[in-house]
Amino acid sequence: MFDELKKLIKSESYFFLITPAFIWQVAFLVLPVLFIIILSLSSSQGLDLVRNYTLHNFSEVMSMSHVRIVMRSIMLASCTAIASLLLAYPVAYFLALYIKRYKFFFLFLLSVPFLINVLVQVYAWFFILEKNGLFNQVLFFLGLIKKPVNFLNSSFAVYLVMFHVYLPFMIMPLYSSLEKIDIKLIEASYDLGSSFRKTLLHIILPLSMPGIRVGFFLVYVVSFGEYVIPSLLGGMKLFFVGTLISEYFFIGKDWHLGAAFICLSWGMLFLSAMMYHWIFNKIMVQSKIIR
Amino acid sequence: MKLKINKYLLPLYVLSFCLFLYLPIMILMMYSFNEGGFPAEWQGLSLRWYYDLFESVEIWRAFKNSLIVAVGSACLSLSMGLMLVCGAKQLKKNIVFFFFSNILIPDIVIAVGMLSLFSYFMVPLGLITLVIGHTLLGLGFTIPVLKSRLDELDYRLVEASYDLGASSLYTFRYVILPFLYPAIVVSALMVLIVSFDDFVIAFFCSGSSAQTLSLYVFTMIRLGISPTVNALSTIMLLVSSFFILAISILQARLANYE
Amino acid sequence: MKSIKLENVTKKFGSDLILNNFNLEIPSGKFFALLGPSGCGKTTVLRMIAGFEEPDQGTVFLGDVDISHLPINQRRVNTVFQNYALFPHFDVFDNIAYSLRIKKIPSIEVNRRVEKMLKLFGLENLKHKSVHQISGGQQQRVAIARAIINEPDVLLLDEPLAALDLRLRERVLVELIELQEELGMTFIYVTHDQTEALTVADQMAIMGKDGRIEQVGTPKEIYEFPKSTMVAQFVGSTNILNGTLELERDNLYLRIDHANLVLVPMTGNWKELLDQKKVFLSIRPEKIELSKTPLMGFSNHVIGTVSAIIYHGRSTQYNIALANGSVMQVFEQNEEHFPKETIDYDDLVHIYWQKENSVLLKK
Repeated sequence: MFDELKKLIKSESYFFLITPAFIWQVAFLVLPVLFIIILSLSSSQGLDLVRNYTLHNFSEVMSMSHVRIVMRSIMLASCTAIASLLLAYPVAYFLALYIKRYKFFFLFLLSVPFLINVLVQVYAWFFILEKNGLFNQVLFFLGLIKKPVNFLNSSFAVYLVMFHVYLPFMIMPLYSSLEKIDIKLIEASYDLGSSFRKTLLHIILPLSMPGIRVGFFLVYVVSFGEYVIPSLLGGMKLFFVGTLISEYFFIGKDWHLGAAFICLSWGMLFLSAMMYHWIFNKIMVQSKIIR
Repeated sequence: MKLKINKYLLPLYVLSFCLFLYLPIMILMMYSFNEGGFPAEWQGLSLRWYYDLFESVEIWRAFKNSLIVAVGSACLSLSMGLMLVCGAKQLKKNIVFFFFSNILIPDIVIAVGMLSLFSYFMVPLGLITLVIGHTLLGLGFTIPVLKSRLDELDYRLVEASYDLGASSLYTFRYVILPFLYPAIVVSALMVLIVSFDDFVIAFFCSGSSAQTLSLYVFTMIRLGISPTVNALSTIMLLVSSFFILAISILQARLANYE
Repeated sequence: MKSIKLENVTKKFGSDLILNNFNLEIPSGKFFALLGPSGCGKTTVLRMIAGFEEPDQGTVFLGDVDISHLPINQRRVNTVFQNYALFPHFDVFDNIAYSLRIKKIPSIEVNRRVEKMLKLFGLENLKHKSVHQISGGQQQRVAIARAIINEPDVLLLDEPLAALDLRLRERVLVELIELQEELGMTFIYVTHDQTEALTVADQMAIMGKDGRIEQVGTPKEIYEFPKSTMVAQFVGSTNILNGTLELERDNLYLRIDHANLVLVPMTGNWKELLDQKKVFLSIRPEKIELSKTPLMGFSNHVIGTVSAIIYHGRSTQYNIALANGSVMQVFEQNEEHFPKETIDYDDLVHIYWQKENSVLLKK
């Protein structure tokens, strides 16, 4: 009988192996998310959903002012994603297909900004954007301005620093997708008489599409919920999704509204992502990249 | 494929790109050695702020907390991740996808969710809740990295080990684990970096007691610039770079292993 | 040393029936080869003996013991894998020492036995080299050393020469034969290359594509007296003629068509084959004589024209087109630099063979 028990434990032991991580995941990821949904559907009377659920939070949250804030974040995320896509692509191309040696060195160089603390980066931008900072000094030197301008606490600052911080995010997916392209395909294209421009458009771009999509959506989705940069550089008046959530949960203390706002925002994010997905497909079909 | 016409266009572009990426940081580092600090003019080279840094009690406390949280979450997420990956391999089930959401779900949503959960169950916020949150993030790194490395293991090596008479445990210790070492180190380093850099989860879930390094920097920025933060930032930068260098070397070695 | 027996083994992979009521006996202490085309299931048989697969039905015996469901690491059966499966993070010494260290044998003893093995295989200088740094042939020797150091009852070799080049292969084959003789261990060698099998085996078995054993015997028996056309054609080349048998007075003939009659030997089960609609005759190309001028003293004689000449160095192969459209292959050894007779394309030639050198087959 003891042997039977040993056998049972051995065969079930693999289940034991995967349970800790699972429990952790459910308890600290799934549950909190569920909790937020529950919060959004209840009011301060209590969390008993069966008897006491309400859509009041949602109706309050779907006001023009809230939607405007979400749209602002969508705008920010879109611009960040598109701009970083356009500007990172040549760099990824350089890394994957242009240089043969020192790849390691360049990869290292381009990974470092990626893992530097966001706060440190924002802090660094203070030096450039504030009244006596670099920007002002250069513009003054070029004679474009007469008085120092405070670039901080503005949309401009937020957009600029978002772009700066998320640029490295874009490089990795693009690079890994470009790297996978079989170089013989490109050689074949040249061999058959195609120019660089045509090869880029018809061979390299389509083949790197997976990387483009991954990079775009990665930056888009992650930058949407950004808190630090808008909070430190946007000033008191400019609200984005991240900063508004923080308002609700820390300052306003109305967690139910906050939760509803989270659901609203991410619902809209999801819809916009679907739209982008549709646009991507449309572009690819239009240019006959896929049939 | 090199262009004939604009031979220097691309390299030049990449160069300016790198300059743009590094510009703020360079300036920051420069000012950390400045006698007068920010926003004053350049007053000469000095390590004054670094001395101040070393003497600041709060910074050491914040550093200690960050360290505890980082090491704690790294250990937890590594051990749980290792167990999960090995168990999943034996059960031949593809559960790894379940853990991809850890990185995709915005940290603010996780932070807020955990905050509500902890408050509802009256769990006191502090270092422990931080470790919990960072471990969650950590799982999102350790599991994919370990899994992809484990997938590269030639299963015939495991078969050979059994064939020669080894037990499962012996095989794990002497064949599988050595193979996984690079991935273990890489994912541990990643979790350490992510934990040190994290701000949002710390901001929402650490309550008033636990100060981490990121939180300290945030407070300093909010309150007004102290030049010691420059020195701190420079050090953090250098340490991050060192870690990244370690990761890159290891990943290059991983590729050449066979 | 032990023998191996598979009794009524059935094995399925999903919906593929690989082995169906499979039976095979492998004698102890001999060099046994299992030969068959790719995909016939021979590797499955090997893996079942080693323990990587278990039979769905039937039994696997090691000696008298039923090992069908015994875990891999408890069987005293070791495998030399096709790609060697050497542990990349251990050096040569540690690879060989692996199975001893598992048993917690004291390191003095381990060192002694590993040194002995290194000496046996000529690997002393490579003791501390990593497995990437040594050549393919050396890797293979390490793999073999690693597998025999703990003196298993049976050694399994899964197409061990596949990764080596031709020159090396011949040398390694001879070394394997010597090793087996010296150790007296049961070797089971699985391959799809018939030359390898013929060279090393004391006893061999041919497996057909359907997963059945076609024939078991010594290499000579299998080559000279195949029991089916599959065996005859898989092991070496042969000419297969078919027709019906006719008995006339004391002679047995194979009627190929209305014009052609061929003398066949009255051996084996020829009586049963008399009623068969179709029987087959196998004549090995080297058993056929080729001549431009007529010769005497042969039981069978056919005339044809040379349609192809293929030079093999040691021998030359001639394809002869016969009047009825079929083609026969003939091997002539190149015994002389300047042969008396030069045979050219489209030459009319006579081919002869003795009836005793052909084999009657049922299928």
